Amino acid sequence: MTHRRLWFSGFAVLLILIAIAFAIVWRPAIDEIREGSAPQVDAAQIARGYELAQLGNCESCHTAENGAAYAGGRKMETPFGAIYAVNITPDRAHGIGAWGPDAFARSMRDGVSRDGTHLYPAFPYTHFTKLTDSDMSALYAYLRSVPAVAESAPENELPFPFNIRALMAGWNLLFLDKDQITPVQGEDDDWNRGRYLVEGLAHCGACHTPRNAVGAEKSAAFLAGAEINGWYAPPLAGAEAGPWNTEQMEAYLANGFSRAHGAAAGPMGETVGNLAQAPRADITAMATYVASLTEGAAEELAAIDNGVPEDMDAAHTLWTGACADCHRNPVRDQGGALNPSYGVPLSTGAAVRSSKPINTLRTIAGGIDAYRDVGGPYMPAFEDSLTSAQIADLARYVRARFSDQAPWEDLQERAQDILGQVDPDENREGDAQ
Amino acid sequence: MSITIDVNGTQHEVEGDPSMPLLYALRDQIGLRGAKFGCGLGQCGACTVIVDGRAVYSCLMPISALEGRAVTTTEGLLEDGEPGKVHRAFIEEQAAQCGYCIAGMVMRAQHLLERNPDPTDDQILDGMQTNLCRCGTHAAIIRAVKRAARS
Repeated sequence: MTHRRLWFSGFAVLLILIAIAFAIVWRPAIDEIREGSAPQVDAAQIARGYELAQLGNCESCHTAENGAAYAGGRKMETPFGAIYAVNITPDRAHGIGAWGPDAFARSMRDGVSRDGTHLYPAFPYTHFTKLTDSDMSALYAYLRSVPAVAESAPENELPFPFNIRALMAGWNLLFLDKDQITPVQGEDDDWNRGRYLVEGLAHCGACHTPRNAVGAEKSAAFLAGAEINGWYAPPLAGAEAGPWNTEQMEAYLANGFSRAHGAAAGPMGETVGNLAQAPRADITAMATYVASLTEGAAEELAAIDNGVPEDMDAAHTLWTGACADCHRNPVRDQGGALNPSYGVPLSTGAAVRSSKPINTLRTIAGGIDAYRDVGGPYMPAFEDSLTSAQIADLARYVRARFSDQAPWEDLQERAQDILGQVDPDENREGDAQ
Repeated sequence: MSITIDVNGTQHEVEGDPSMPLLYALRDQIGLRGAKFGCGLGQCGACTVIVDGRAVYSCLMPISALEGRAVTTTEGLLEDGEPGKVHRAFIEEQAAQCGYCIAGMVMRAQHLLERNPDPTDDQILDGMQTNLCRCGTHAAIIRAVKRAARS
């Protein structure tokens, strides 16, 4: 083979590779729909879409703190940089008002914007790809019915190379599984419906499943617990998962509280605010499926109180003055009367049992304020009254006194991080989050 | 046991259990009865005072946690013994009905205005929402906060 021929075939191979890469990356723009040309929908479809939007928790991510609903702007910290949720109101210039149903469905199923650019999987299209056509249409109908807002989200803060959207095409090849969820024979309708919702629209795994080095959920560790946005989304499946049954999980998802597990706080508190608006049948279905992931372990947790730990006098004083009025032992200290936390022992809460201290630290610091407008669990925030050292001390104290688990490490450091991160005024409104 | 607490710029010796809430020390020993006991659970805000520039529930603030920190109560906002700026705004808007929540409201408003001298309506609602008023004078209270911000 002459040099010339070698050069020529090398060039041909390169061209072919470029063509393949182009085919993988390139997605056509879908034409804007004409103003006023959105498909006619009936009220029932919009109403169903509203329920689906609650199950999908869309508003939580697509609404900024004190911002207009669905107008975007909420910042999501990822290991790769900060991403801002976009405006999904029907504004033609700033939102998705010029998107037809096909452009909407492609973004949800393929993670590709109307103009053909790739979206980042912080938007959980890896889950939404499982939606049925009719659910997709109902969600589209609902989102077209919300008030249009002429606001754009800030630009993402992603360093090179993560700011190259085309890279997501390769990511999708590896991690986007578009297979639809098919019913499992032998399981009942609730279980199958619950699985469809949990793995699809409700995208529980987006928080509760740990992610790999490039930010994809590890399918082998489905719902095994993960740290996200400064909170620990506890394991719902696998060896470390708490013992849930369907009734407990249903109460928790619908009200943010289960006598056997305590209160939903942080981002889960926000999620419950949406799930509470969803049809009860769907919540029951989700609870049925999630509870089945810990089957065989649903006995009640025994209350633990090891008494005042040695060498924790200062923390015990803080506990007595700041915590005990609500969390005191209802049987021993109050003759069986309920305490203001409804007699739920602190030891039942996942935060105190957890392998990671962050939920306990965050709850002491920021309190629970997600239910202020709807009624539900409440705890005052202590970040303004106690120092990070005092909050770390209290976490060490409740862990030693109300759990049978090993002490947590690095409490002081993590408490400092948390108090440094939480802007008290931001937190007041209640999160979290 | 005795603990020294800095309240409104004066050092006070407080006797008692170190887990005693600041509210009890203020009312029963130091003699400052502006802050009120409402729920005792950090839910109503009637006991709100400022510690190191931050509004806190004094009913859930053990005195043991106060070493080296500065407490300001509604009495500390007086100017030469006369009502201070926030007090005057509350009086001018007649924001008190029974008055039980007002010392806490004043301290919460003071804290809000120290951090944000020109709050929007939403920021006022947001900043004041931890404090409850059972008489329902919230509209007047919000006007008072706006007036204090203007003055």
